[in-house]
Amino acid sequence: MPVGLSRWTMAYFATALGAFLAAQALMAAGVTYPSEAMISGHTLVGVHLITIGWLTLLMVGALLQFVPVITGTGEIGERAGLPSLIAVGCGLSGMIAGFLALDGTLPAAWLAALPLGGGLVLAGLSLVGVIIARALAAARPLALAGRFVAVSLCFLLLTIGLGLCFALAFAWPEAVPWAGRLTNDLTLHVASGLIGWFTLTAIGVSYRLLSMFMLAPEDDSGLGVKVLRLAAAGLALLWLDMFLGDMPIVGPMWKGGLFLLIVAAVLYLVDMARIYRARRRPILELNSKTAAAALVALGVCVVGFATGKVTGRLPSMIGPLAYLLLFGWLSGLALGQLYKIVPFLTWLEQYGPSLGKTAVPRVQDLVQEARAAPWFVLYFAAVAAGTVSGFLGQVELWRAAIFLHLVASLFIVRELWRVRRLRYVAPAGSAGAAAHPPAPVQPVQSAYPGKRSP
Amino acid sequence: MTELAPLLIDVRPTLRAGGEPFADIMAAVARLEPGQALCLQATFKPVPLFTVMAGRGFDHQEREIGGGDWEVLFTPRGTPGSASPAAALDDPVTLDTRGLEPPEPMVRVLAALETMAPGAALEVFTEREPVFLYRELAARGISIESERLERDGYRHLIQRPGPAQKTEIRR
Repeated sequence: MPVGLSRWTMAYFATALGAFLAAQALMAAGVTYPSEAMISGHTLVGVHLITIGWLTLLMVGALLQFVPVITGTGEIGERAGLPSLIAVGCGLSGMIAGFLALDGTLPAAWLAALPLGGGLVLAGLSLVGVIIARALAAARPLALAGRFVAVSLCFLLLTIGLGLCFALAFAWPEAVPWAGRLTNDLTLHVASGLIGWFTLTAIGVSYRLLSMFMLAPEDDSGLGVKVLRLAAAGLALLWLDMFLGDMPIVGPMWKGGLFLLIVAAVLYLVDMARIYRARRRPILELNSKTAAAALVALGVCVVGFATGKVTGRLPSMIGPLAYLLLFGWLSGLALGQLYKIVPFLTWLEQYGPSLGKTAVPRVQDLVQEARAAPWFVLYFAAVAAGTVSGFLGQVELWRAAIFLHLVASLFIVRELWRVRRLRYVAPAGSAGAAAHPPAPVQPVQSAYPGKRSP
Repeated sequence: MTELAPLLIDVRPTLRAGGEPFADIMAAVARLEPGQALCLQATFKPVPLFTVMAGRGFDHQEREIGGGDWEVLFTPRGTPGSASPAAALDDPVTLDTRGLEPPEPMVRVLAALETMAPGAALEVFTEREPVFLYRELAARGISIESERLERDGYRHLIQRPGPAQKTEIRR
């Protein structure tokens, strides 16, 4: 079935990038962790700007385009995309107000905004999540990437559901006592989100994108399925432990779950190394290099986590490790892939209808990798410096490093903007400049009025 | 009848400047008189073009002309595109895009199709299901039939709408 451009993907990307920049600015300014405690209202504002505002919106936006491609179904979320985005945006704003009330920055009455906002986020993501899930269900049996996404969507809903229980327990502890029963420990909420939703989605998408753009076999080793099964089983054990095990969480199921997750991550990294080695493109493009840096960050996280667990020093290491997971692995991978996806979609939108009929620029003509590369180098170097500062307990240095990757992110966003404006195809004002570059933030205008896939 | 001299097109300057000469070549093809040959000079052996030109009914003879440059003489072999659609399906031009980085397969297929006569068929091999290509083909009213191969991707049969089959072009 023909697949067109997702109508709302660019709007999701733009909103997500805005939240990403805002969160980094708050961290650099010393408003949140690492200057503030990890569990504090201000830090929770920063954390949820990154996890919901940045990573979740980015991934949902990407899935709205990516899922039809891997399933071969027509466009999805044409109508629901915008309402979902608005619901998540408003919901997140409400949650932020609620978090500020936790700290006393806002009056206590604002606490109610936390579950209300969380409810809106859940509603928005459920709507778009169900649409994505239906497209996946209709396309069974799924390819590897699709299977990862199907599992990760479950964890998206579990994560938000658990988060909503926290919100209820904070706002109305007497009215909903059962919420407190589920929320003795934040760890499950964090693990479900960081591993179940973000990391599994990132892994699934990476299998497809990296093999596609490096011209490598996607899954001829069969390791990918093992990674998914181990990771899903590991996370399931963590959840079982919460319902069946004794608190605090140190039961054998919990340990077994963590062990399976570590094995899954190691297998995934081994498989990615195979894809890089088996590639038929000798020269790596920028997005493949940044993905390699992100994979290294994931590897360091796994080693750090395992070391911390064995030596018992995990509590003091968990902050920098979570930071590395969020900024090195997930955000690093995402920024690099955006730098590939945005030009590709822009090129398709702008030049698809002219292909074969007239000379059109190549996708590579929409970017200037030499201009973007230094900012990606700065980004990853700053994240590395930030992680080291975190391990050393040097909060001021850590903030300085965050400021540096904020600057790098700003310039990467500027490059993405230039891609959308077709600046590198023909400089603005020149004879060859496009008369109608696409709107930087969609909705995509269909190149074929009246044609909609069934 | 006096034989027409081949039309000479030298795309080496364009290629050396990093440009894409495909449009120039196709413009030259469009300028050819009936029966006239095209003589192309390029900085490499333009193998993909052989397929495209074969689809338009040209045979080719290539030779290296020194310095790594190539000269290709495309000579028309009668009346291209006059075959019936059914005959074209039996004898399609083949384009194997496996091993090309996206979106290059789509670029090549659409380029090849634009140069083919109505009713002519193109057999295409791709590594993945070309979902964006489907969309472009649908928009152009070109039919495609796809099958997944046991290994090594997909095989497609794409046929330009011919005069005799205008009712069948919608997917």
